[in-house]
Amino acid sequence: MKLLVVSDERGRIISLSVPGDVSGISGIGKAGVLPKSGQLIHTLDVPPEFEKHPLLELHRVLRVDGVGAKARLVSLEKFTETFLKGG
Amino acid sequence: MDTAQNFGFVVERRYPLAWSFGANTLNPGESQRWWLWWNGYPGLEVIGVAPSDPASEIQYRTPGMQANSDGSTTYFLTITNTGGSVAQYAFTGGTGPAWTFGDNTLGAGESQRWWFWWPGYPGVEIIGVQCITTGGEIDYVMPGMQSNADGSATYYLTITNVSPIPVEYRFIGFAIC
Repeated sequence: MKLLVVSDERGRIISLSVPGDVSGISGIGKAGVLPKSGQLIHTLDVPPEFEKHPLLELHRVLRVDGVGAKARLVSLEKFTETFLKGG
Repeated sequence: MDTAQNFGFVVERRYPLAWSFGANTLNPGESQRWWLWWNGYPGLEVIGVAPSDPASEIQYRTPGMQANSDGSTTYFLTITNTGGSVAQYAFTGGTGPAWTFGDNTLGAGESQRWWFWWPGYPGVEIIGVQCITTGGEIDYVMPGMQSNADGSATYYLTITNVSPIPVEYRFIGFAIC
């Protein structure tokens, strides 16, 4: 499952989004968030071991590791910047 | 700092369309943050005020929504009497068949400005949020609209999680005309 992820430059998750249904009754064709200075937007895969976890739990237990094309969602426990593991 | 007092009452809807609730006064220059509670989820409530004194301007801003752990719903609204004399007003509002869009989370204390694109002009879209996480409040402000050169339309909304916890929510809305 892919999520729209907004993070700060240290990988802390600001928000997660499951894309809305663009074929639904709303008529919305697309939507997104305007990032603030210092925030990054990614479209990232949920790690397989977390696929069935609720969205809010993912927000709490995951971080973004890496930048650009190498960015990925990782468990807080595996986050390389260990001194930044705190929320 | 405002000498704001927070009062709230249980709202019971008798009619499916617009409702009016209460009769309140407010000193000139004062602001109050009100909460209005529904037993269950009433849908996206669009809430305003109906001043009874034509000489007084009552501003209403910063709507917010909170889902409660017992299944009830609380809406919030900040009221300000910008006039020079005591004002009296009632709350008024309504809801309607709505669409929902997306499934999102927002960190505690965070704000985001969202955009929503329609391939044509959908009418005046009223957009709010429905919180899924209980106990968290999200405020939604600064609606905006942009007409694009290709005939499409973009709506905007700023949301803020004013809670100390991350909140899961979805967008909800309807076109009123």
